[in-house]
Parts: sequence; C-alpha cells; structure tokens
Amino acid sequence: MPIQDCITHTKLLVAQETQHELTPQQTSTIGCILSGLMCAAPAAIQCFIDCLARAANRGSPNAANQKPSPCDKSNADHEIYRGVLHIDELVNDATGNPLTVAQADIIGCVFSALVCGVPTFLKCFLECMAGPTTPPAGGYDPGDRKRCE
Amino acid sequence: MKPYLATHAIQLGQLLRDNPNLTMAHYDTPADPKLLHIYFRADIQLRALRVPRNLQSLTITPHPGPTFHDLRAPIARATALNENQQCQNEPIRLGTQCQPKGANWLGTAGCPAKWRDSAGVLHWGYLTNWHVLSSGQFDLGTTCHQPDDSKPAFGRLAAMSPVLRDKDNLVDAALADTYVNGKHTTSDEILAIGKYADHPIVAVPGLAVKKSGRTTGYTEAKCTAVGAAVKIGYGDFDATFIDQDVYKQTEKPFSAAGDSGSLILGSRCSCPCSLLFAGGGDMTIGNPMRHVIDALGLIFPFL
Repeated sequence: MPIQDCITHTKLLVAQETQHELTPQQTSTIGCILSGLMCAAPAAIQCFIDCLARAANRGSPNAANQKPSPCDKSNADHEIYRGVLHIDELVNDATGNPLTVAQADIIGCVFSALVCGVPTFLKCFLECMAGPTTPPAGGYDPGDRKRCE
Repeated sequence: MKPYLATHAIQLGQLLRDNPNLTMAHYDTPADPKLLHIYFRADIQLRALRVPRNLQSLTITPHPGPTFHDLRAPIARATALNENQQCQNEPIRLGTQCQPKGANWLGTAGCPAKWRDSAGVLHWGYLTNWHVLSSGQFDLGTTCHQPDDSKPAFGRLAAMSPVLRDKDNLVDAALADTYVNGKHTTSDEILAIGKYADHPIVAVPGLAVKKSGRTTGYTEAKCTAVGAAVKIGYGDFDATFIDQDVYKQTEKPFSAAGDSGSLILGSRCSCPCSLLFAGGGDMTIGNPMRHVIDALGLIFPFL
C-alpha cells in the first residue's frame, strides 16, 4: 500500500475514533515512520533470509540447547542471543516447554533482521523529518506600506 | 473521492439530486447513522420522497427549512463602515472585505494561508472562496483589492477549486498570493481574533465556534451537524455539496451576505475548522478544513 494511502487511512481512523484531525506534524511524523520502514524493509528482509540460511547450514546458533559462547559473537549477536534466551525462559515458564531449535532460530533471525534494519530506518526517518534540504526562495515578508490615502 | 468519505455521504448527495425540493440532509451521527434529518423548502408541501435503497432502513425526520445560497454581497458604498470593511495599510489583517478587479460583488479575505505550488515553491497569502475570487468569471492572476478595487491590488488569484454543478462538491475555495512589489501585503492575523492555532480541527456537533467576516464582523455559533449534504444556490445555478459542516447562530446572526470566505475557528483553541461559504435562515455552511487542505495543499503552521 503506498505511504500516502496508509497516511490517509490512519487519518481516517484517528478522526473517526477521536473526532480530531491529526496535526500536520503528527501526519508528517507518521509519514516519515512509514517511509523509514519502507526504506529499511529490503535490508531487514535480506538479513532475515541470510540468517535463516546460516542457521540451516551450520546448525542452530540461537537454539537454547546449543548455546554458542557469547565470546564468539559480536555485541549485537550477543544481545540477540540473550533476547532469545529470555523468550525461551518466558515460554518455558508459561507452557512448561522450552522453545524448539527451529523456533529459537526464527526468533533469533527476527531480532537479527530488526537490528540489521535499524540503521537504515533511522537514516531514512531522520532525512524525511528534516524535509527538503534546499530551502524555498524568499519567505513570508510582511510589508508596512501606506495604501489608504 | 477520499477514502474516508464513506458511501453514506455520497448517498445523501444522491438524495438531494433525486428530490429537488430538499435543501439539506444529514445523519444524527455520521459514524453510525440511524436517524436521517431532511430539510425541505418551507414554501412547499413535502408529499413524496425518493429515497435511495441504502437509506431506506433509516428513520427519516423532515423539517421545513431555508434555501441556502452563497454569501457574496452586492457592491455597496456603505456610509458607516465596520472595522472589517475599512481600508487598511500594510500588513492587512484578514477577515477583511475584498473585491476582484471589476467584479460586481464583495466577499471576505478569510485567513492567512501558506501553500506549495506544483513546482514546489512556497507561497503566502490568504484563503477565501472560489465564488469570491473567480466565480468562473476571473482567471488565475486576476488582482484582488482591499477593501474594493478603488484601492491598489493586495494580491492575485493563485489557486482555486471551482464548484461544479453536476458533481458532488467538497469545497468552494481559492487562494490569493499577496506578494506584491517585494513584500507580502497581508498579516498573519485575523481582525478581532488574532493569530490562529497551528493545527486545524474537525468539527463535531456542539462545538463552539467564532469567525470574523466582512459584513457581520466577529460572531459566534455552535456546530449542529457534520457530514451534511446541502444544495447551494449560486445565482445562475445550483450545486450540491456533501460532507459539510453546519453551524447555527447562538445570539446574533452568525453570517450574512458578504461573509463568504471567512474562516470558522474553534472558540477556545482558535483552531481552523471550516471555510464559511453559504448560509440560509439561521444556519451557516462551512467546508471542512480537511477538505480545503486536500484541495489546495495548504500547509500549517502559517509561519
């Protein structure tokens, strides 16, 4: 769905629910978030696919029952690894069963994709919020001339 | 047509076209319509009604009502001018009387406006109605004058959204660029109101509003309906509008001929709400600001 359609739909929902129009600032922020997501999506999806492929090729780096040493990993991977373990604990507490290796792999790869997409998202989002880099010529310049004599 | 214009807004337009004696129709609650209010000309007996199939499940409440017409004023050289009719030196505060060069009518230069043209260039000027600045008789570039064309031009017609007689209209709006000889002639303020808030709002029934216009000056009203379909007389033709805001005077009349083009603002926040363009009886009709923004590419805040 094009970004403009998403914004229009969001404006409709907000107007229907709150009887208030989104302010132009809110609208542009939503537009920039959507723009950032669109911008980051290809990189994130590529990371997700690569991650799944790696997991399939070399076993299960994020699986709870095959815990690689955190020392082998970069900081980001280490945080992902810890995140998967945390979810594993929550699932285990809630259901009495830990995550399967495949589930842990998928969750780890989702985290990996998010981490991968964040820099691109931030870059696009900030550029969008900054607006056009070239300012318009002139500006509002009210006069003070007499015209009623 | 915008996605948020639900089909029931369009059905109300069809209802008006199918029944020439109806002047206005609106739901009790547009988001969940159950009751339909219809207004018919007070000088006729409403005997039969053609109701589109999709509206037949609703309870219909008929009311005798006024006919609605645009709120231009004929040229008049009044002796006792109010503040909104007097000549102003720069920067000209808006809500003031204006006249296109050579027109035989007067209207209101409503409020400060900023917009970007198709080439991406920003412009500053004022917002008013299409029928005030053009009415199909004047093209882009026509000069507009304050308070009338005996005084120098204070802007030029720069953009417009014309009213069409055969379609459902949403707005009657136009923009004048007030950049004249190296300066902007107009202020960022409205007479008796001052600066408006940075963001527009959507009208809801019960909302208290205010406006400053050429004929009645500063007045107040309450919103009584939104999402209304209204038939408006433009002298030589009638036009149907859908999804309009309806206001009713609280004490003295909210609008009169010559107030066309005024901005209607929320009383408490001074937030732009509707563009006043028509009226009849004790009711005033405004184009919702969201449709005006969509039609003309207005940008908020002004500065």
